[in-house]
Amino acid sequence: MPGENLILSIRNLNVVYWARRGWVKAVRNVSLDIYRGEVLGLVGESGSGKTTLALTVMKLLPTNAKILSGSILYYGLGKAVDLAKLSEKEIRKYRWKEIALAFQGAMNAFNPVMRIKDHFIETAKAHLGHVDEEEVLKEARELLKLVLLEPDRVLRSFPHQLSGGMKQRTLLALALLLRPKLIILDEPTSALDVVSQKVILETLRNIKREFSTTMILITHDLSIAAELTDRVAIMYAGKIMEVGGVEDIFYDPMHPYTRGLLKAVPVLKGTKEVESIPGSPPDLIDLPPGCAFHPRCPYAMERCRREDPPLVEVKPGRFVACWLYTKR
Amino acid sequence: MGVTSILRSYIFLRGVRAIVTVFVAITFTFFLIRLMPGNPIDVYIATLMGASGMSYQDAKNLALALFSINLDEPLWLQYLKYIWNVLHGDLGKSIVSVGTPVIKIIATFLPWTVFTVSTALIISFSLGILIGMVMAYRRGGKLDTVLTLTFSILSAIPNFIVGLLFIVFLGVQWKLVPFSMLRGAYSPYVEPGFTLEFIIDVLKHAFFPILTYVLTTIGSWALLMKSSTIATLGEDFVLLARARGLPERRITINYVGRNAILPLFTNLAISIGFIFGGSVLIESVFVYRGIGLRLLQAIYQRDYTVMQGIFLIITIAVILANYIADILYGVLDPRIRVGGR
Ligand SMILES: Nc1ncnc2c1ncn2[C@@H]1O[C@H](COP(=O)(O)OP(=O)(O)OP(=O)(O)O)[C@@H](O)[C@H]1O
Ligand SMILES: [Mg+2]
Repeated sequence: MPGENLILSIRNLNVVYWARRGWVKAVRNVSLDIYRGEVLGLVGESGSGKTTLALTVMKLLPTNAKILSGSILYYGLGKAVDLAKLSEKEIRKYRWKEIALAFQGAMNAFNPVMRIKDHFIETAKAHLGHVDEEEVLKEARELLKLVLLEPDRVLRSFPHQLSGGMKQRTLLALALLLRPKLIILDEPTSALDVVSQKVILETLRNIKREFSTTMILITHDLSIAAELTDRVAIMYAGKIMEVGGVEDIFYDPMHPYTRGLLKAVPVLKGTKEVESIPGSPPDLIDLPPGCAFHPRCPYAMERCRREDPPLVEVKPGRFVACWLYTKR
Repeated sequence: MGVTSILRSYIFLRGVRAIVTVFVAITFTFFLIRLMPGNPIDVYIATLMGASGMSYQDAKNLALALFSINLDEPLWLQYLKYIWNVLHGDLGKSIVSVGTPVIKIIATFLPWTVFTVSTALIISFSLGILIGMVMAYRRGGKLDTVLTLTFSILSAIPNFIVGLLFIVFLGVQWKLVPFSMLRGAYSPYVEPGFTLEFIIDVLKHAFFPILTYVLTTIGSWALLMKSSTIATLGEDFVLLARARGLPERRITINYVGRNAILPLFTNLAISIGFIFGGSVLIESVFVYRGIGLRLLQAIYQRDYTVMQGIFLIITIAVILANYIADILYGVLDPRIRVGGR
């Protein structure tokens, strides 16, 4: 496990959305460390707050969202900078140059009226000032090759001329253009067919090997997390439930929710029948008291219904938020 | 196929469509004149016979000369000849100002309408877009609320009422604007030509018609642009542009603006037809000597040949304007211009 080589340190982060029915508590007291060179998997069901967490790091939350408290310390520039406290103008220097975000909606991630090559050029110009366009395109071609695309054809295309998988890979190439120290990939394979998913996974492996960029890989697909990540954080109802090395999480899950998730994956458990977790995720506006998972938890105790367990380090590098492991 | 040849083919296809539409319009006009019961030729012949006691043959000969049609020829030949004539700019001669070719009347009046209508459209469209974008960026704010209300009311008032209100209040009540001096397209004592005096005079005369068009159409542009901008602001490519750290100005213009405008082009095409139709009322309110006023005069005088000619020309002008809007749309939206992959 990397030592004190932190790149990002999220501390006690709380984010809410204002909706008609009330406050949606999308990110609840999240603390998470990301170390240089690692691939961290952020796994959780739909609506567990993964995208919200990613958008918060980049300060890209919609206007109805609010960071209630917490800090996002970025160590990429030597000293610690709290991204949560930066102004819109200051954060612009960090976006894409320091932290890139290739998000969920790659289908529609490019400006429909602009050629792909202009996306590369304008991105470089926005951060490096006057640049030689040919230089940028040369770099872009290399990156497109890395993601297994035909560089010249892609560069000259308009977005609508590329398939969803091609757009997703182009977005990966674009994310690498400025050599950011951290890349956040939000569900890079969802909404793609199986073949395109395979290609994306292969390009991600290429990227991991060639650049050893730090990555946060957001997914609800455990098999993808198992293949690509070094560490995994499990998120449920806006809260981090468990963090640990990828082997630990898969071979020795601790949190009842993690165990439930693993049972729900057919490939990992071989021939055993698939069991999904009974019940459904809670309403984030009106959360149950105590642990948010207790209504679905087979081990729920009296205490679980009253008090929300904190995320504590039960072994070196292993964090769990569950009263089963927190002796007090 | 190369990109340029596809571009050409989009413009080409739209061009073919425009030409076919013009043809349909001409054909329709022909059958309206020639075949409809109580068609203008028959009516005119009857009028001549009744009013001046002409024989049927004389009246018919006179009518046919004015309409440039020979009723004794087979229908298909008449049709071909009619098309031939129209293509050569021969739309017959005026019944009232005997002997004046219709095309000459149109040539004198149409440019003024095209001038006012297109100036108004350009001003209203570009201003409406700017205001609409500002409203979208400040949605829910005071400015947005006030403008939305104002525009909703403005676009509900018919344009000639706005024109009449100008005349009643600015002209009659407060005597601020001498509207009777602003009749026509320019003052009779000013020599037409490329002189500053003439240009200023023309602008003075055109000012209120243009202002009326702008006031009554700008609201719908602004409101359309507002909703289109709000929709575009929610697009992923805008969020990703922010994530890429692009300057806000660039995002506003190249990402939000460029894309939010596109759906408005469909409305632009429709609006051109409406504004031409509206010219009849506006021009008669301000007594502005454009094609709309002339059409109204022709209707009063039952000057059928002139009426028909103007209808046809307005139809063709609208089709042409639509074609231009189509091309602009194609230039701005590669999804239209450049086919799939
Ligand atoms: N703009 C918004 N306004 C109000 N609520 C929102 C908004 N965006 C997300 N939410 C809510 O916040 C919660 C977390 O959403 P988020 O998109 O972060 O989840 P996710 O883990 O990324 O889910 P998915 O796997 O479906 O992408 C959900 O309950 C969602 O309904
Ligand atoms: Mg998401």
